[in-house]
Amino acid sequence: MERTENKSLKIRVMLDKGRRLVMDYPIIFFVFVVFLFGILFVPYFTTSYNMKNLCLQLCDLLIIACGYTFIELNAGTDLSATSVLCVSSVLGGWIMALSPLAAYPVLATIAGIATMLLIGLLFGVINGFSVVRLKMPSFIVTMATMLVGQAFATWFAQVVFGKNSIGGLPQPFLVLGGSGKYFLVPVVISLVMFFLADFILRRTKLGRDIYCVGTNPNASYISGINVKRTVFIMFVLCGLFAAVEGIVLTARNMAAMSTLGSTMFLNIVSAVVVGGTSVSGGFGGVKQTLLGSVFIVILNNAMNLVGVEWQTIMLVQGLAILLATIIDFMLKRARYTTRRRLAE
Amino acid sequence: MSVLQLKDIKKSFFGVQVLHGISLELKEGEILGLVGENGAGKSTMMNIIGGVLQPDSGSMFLRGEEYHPESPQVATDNGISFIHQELSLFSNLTVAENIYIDGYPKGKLGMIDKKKMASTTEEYLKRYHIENVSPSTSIGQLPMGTRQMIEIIKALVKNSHILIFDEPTTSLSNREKELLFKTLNELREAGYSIIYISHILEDVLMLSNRIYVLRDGSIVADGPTEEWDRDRLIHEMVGRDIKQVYPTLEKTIENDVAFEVKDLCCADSVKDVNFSIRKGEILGMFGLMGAGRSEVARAIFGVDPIQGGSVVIKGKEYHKTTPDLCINNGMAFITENRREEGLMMPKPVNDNMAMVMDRNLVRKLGMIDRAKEAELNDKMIHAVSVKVTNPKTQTANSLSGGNQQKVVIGKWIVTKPEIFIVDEPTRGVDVGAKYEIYKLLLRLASEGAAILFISSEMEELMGISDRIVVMKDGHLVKSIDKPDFSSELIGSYAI
Ligand SMILES: Nc1ncnc2c1ncn2[C@@H]1O[C@H](COP(=O)(O)OP(=O)(O)OP(=O)(O)O)[C@@H](O)[C@H]1O
Ligand SMILES: [Mg+2]
Repeated sequence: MERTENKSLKIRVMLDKGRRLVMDYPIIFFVFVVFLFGILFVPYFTTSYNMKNLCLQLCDLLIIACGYTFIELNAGTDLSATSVLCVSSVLGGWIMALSPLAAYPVLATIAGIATMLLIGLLFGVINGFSVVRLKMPSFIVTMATMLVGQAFATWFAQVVFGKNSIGGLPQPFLVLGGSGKYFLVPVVISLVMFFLADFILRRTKLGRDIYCVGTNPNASYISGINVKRTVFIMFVLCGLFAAVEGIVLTARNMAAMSTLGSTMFLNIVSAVVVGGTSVSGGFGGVKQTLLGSVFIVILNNAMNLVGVEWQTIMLVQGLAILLATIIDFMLKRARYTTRRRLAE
Repeated sequence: MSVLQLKDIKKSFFGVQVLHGISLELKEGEILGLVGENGAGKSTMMNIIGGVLQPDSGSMFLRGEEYHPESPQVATDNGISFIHQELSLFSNLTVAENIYIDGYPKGKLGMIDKKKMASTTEEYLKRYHIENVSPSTSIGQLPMGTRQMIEIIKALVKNSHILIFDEPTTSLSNREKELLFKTLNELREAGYSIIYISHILEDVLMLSNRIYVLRDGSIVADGPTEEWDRDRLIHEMVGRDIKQVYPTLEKTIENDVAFEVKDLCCADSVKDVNFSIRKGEILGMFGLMGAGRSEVARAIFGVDPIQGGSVVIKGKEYHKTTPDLCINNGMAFITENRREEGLMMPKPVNDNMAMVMDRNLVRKLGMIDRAKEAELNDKMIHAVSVKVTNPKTQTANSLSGGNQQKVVIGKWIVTKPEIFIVDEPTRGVDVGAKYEIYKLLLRLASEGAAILFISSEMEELMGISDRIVVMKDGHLVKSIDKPDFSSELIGSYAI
């Protein structure tokens, strides 16, 4: 008798765990499917060259997507994340290639990196301030900063470089891009950023606050959580992560470009949302984003290798987002279970 | 004649059986009382009747015919109305829109008959003496008590023949309660059938014709009201006797004032409120709905702005406060609106418990001391005896109403507040747990805490307060000391 009871308890615990796994990482299954699809049907998918390529592409997406996860956890938007990439790229490039500092490679690299991080910080501060203090919707604010940023980058490149991009970046900086034997450098950078984000979200007070504010800002405020500061920090973190991405990407391209990241926004949001971070805030995290990024990168890569046109890639990605949103909605109902149903 | 019949209804959630074969009968023209501890399964049972939940097995009959409500709409169509324990109003819609939410009256050309909506709403508002509220007021601006009356009106407007009231009076003051009871009696006379769930046993005994007692998902006893009295009800509910309603604890009130409110104005309607609480003192605050009690509490804690005057916390005067500042000064505040302001409903119990205490558990690098957090979580869940299967995963919205309230209390008590503002802390909580909450408050007071205890239940105010202040129309009209407590006196200042 006791035995069977024990057993049924075990099964219940296992079921509960399985349920939670699905609730927390609905994406796992899809990642598995695209990966299997790649291995089975896509030529050259498993070559070491392609694997390396995949790895770098993943790094390119992961850092900024981790930053974007902070925003999504509060159900916000940051359209300007990709503008951080191009603005920091052109300004950093200018410092490193054209300013008087360019004569000293190490110094130029440090100054360049510092400038680029500052740009990310600046974007974060402006966005955060407008949302928190001026109470503007994040969509509007970041649309404005996105436009201004992109216009500035284009204008600056045209006027100062005379063209869209400029090379001649110092050698120490290029190491960050992972060319040749430095392949592991960007991988390590993105892993560090990933674990940093994960650490913040799961282990720190700030992380707790982010989840609380994303779930119920009123209750959070009354519980003494500084809601405004938390939201502000989310934007700053997103800006900084984007800047780090700007550094890695600029180094990868070996050039400062005013068009850097112009096509990335879709991928970023896809990675975050498809990964399973709730579009209505409060649920998810960077582990989900990692899985989402893996999914998006493999999907893009596989379809590229097969040779489908970009419209098809867009189509598939769009469908994936739609599906993810539907799953998110269903999970939300499951989380709200009975009582919430009354109110809906 | 039986109107509604339940036969052997069973229900479990994720492997935990909550209802173990419930059979029940509701007759025409009667009020059926249903009582039981928090988490006994009362709301679950009603949700099954109302089509919100589906039973695992068992059957229901409506006037002898088999009845399977797949959705709340089916229940409504069959003339069953439901006043939910957790208010289900939309705070962004108006009073009239909320009342007609499940079926707007249609006029010419199928357009919504706004005039009719407004006039009927107006009529009901007047009938229930809900002043200062018009059909076009948005729900979000209204205090909880008014919202609850609107919820009740919403059910009455439908003119259903079976009405289910799941703890309808938790936010009402005596006057509204009396009005509601009068209506219930009228409805019964007119042949309507009513199921009435409440933790206020006196009300159940006074209102109902028959009473069912639910314990751990089974009906353990039932019978006509004449055969019941309070003590026997409690005995059946909890399985043992609870003799005392209010704990007794020796405590001394010190001379130091812990907390003071000076000429406080807030919420446009509350003017020049003055009072002070000494260490170890429990100050009760009484008033009718709309008297401004919650508004005072909210302004003190910085949830709403202070429009004039100041608060003095431990000798230091503030003209502007925030919850953060108050908590840093050892204050705590249980709001009356637990769903929107007290809890993160879709998050696990532990996450909710940790909301306030985490600020004290920050270690190097901003890290949370998770071991300590887990330890305190366990301790609190025990201290307030939350009925929960797995606090790490079970979400707040899957707890019974009373258990949700216990989580809110636990979340604040864990910081050992020195100045504690509690707004209707025993709302929806069963007898046994009420006793525990009183005991917790008294113990805090005996350790030197100052407590502001807001309640609409005069009995409990008189039971544990050392002094009671009465508010009326935004003014503090009277302060009454313990020896002079009597419901007539207190009531006379409130009206
Ligand atoms: N969706 C759900 N998922 C898991 N458990 C649930 C769910 N809904 C209810 N329960 C559990 O069922 C039990 C009965 O809950 P119910 O709300 O019916 O209690 P109740 O008698 O209404 O209590 P109260 O007086 O506190 O309102 C509780 O232990 C609760 O945790
Ligand atoms: Mg209930």
